[in-house]
Amino acid sequence: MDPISATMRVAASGLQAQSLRVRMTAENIANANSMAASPGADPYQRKTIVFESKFDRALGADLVNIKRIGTDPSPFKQVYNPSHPSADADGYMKTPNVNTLIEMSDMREASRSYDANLKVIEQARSMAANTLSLLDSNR
Amino acid sequence: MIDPISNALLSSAANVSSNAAPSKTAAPAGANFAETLKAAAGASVNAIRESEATSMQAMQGGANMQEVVRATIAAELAIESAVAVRNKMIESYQEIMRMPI
Repeated sequence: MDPISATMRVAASGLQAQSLRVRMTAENIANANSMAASPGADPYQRKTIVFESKFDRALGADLVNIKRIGTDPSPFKQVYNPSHPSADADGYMKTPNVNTLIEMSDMREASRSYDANLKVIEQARSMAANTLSLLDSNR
Repeated sequence: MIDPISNALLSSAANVSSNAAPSKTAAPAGANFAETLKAAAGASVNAIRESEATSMQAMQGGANMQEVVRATIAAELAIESAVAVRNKMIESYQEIMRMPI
């Protein structure tokens, strides 16, 4: 396959991966206050995303692949709130192990990475257009 | 003997690792004028079909935005190469027709 088309395909797989990563941070931020419904049950557990490179035989290049969407095993924070339905006998409830600050920086990183992949597509496109313009009759 | 300018063009073409002109790869050696044009047109058809299919899928909620944009750019590129090659071919054809007999 023509390297310029392959470049676009690779960058597009990067775009997809990063957009999924933004979705994950969106889920984490949105559910940062999702508590459990009953005592003893777990609240929202932070989701993580793992990427891997995957060789595409037809393309002859490494694409980004979503290896798995996992959950963060770090412990839940205990907060004293006896009025909440999920509070245990001592009045403590578990809150999600989401740190909004981490999510924000993760989102920023995903956004930058997305932009970088967009630039790659832009560059490949202009390289192709410039090459084709050699055939223009009025040059 | 190849003059230096043609030589420079050839070596720079070898450096450009792209098959921007589909007719070069699609057309068999020794193909005639019409065959070459046909090959140039045919090379882009698949890309356009893929782009259309992806757009249709996206309208039904099946494909994502990135894939639609990529397929559309690929189709655009294919059409542009086909048109560029066609224009060049027609130009050379007209050049020949204008020759005084």
